[in-house]
Amino acid sequence: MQQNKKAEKADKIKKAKEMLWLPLTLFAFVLIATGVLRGEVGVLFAKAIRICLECIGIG
Amino acid sequence: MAKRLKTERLRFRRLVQIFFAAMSNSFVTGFAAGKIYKGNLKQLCAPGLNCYSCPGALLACPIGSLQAVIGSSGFQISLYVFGFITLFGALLGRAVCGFLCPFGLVQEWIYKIPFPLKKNSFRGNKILQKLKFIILALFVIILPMTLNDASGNAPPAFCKWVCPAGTLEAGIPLVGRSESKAAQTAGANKMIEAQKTDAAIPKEKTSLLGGKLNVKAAVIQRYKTGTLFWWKIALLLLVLILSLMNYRPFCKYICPLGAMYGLMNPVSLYRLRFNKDLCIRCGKCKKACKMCIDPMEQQNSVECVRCGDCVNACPTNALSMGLGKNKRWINLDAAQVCSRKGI
Repeated sequence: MQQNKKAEKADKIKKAKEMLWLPLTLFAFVLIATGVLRGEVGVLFAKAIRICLECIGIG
Repeated sequence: MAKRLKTERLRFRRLVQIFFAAMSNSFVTGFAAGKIYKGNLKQLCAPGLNCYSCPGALLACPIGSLQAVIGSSGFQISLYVFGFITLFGALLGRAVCGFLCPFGLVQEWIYKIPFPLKKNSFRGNKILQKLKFIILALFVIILPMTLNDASGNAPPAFCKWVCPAGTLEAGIPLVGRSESKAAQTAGANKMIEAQKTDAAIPKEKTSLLGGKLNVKAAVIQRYKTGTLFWWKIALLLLVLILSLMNYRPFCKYICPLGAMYGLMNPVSLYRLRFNKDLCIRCGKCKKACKMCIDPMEQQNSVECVRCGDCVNACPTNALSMGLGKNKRWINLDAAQVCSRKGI
């Protein structure tokens, strides 16, 4: 009886884990939107369109 | 039939890898002109490690972007870049490494070269695999947060001192081109000097296609290579040589992006599925895994790059890979299970 309960609980946890990608995806969109509103894109873009001297081993 | 399916699976992954590497570096004029793409797509992060200073790169590297924002005077953390990493991680996990990373593809190709000393499992391998988490914390987060100069900006520590992908994709094409261009310019300048003193030298040269070429003294940027450049070249060579013996050593031991995606492997939508009723415990999947995982015990290990070698090695199809649940397993009855197991 107890073993059955344990197995059921493990199964529930497994199923919940398998569905965790969905809230994570939504959370990712929230993060991206917050980043855009905070103005992070400008900083990123300014760096990405210039040759990064550190990346190429010069600066 | 089964063999054909395996070949198709392998071919599909290889095609996706080649297609994505080509697409994310498709700014061909960048290679020709020694310049980088400056369009709006650079505001978006690529899923894999792809240096944004690569002349062909259309998207921004997530690790470079993370350091750029963290290291800037205005921000301490980048929600935008973490958002992209969480998005790719939640949907694909480390399948990004196995399917969408150009540097992973380079390492895989090198591993295919025949070499007598191929060794993926060795003493200390498991501990060494934890190194990527230390690199993530130290070089990608802590150092860009703390090494601020007078203006409040910090250098991208991982890109500067570690990243061999940047050396291969950006350093070699840009520095190599500037060196050859500088040599051409020096030659042209010499010719102009000679023209001034010797009237017999023509002012125009005939090109190979018959057109006239003006000899001009062009001023071009020449990158001065120093200790840092040669340190990065040495690191790149080390990774490439290790790739001959060990499957994806950079991904296994160093890559901070792989470390982040790995943490999301257990919950990602794209996953490795295991049907223990079909398993005959032959151990073929464990033997086939070049990332040193036992797929019977850990289907969603942090180290799994979803290459699919275990799925191809399984004789009873007890392993499968894909999005969500395997619908073919749901209606399997006892007789079908027994026939698959050969009972």
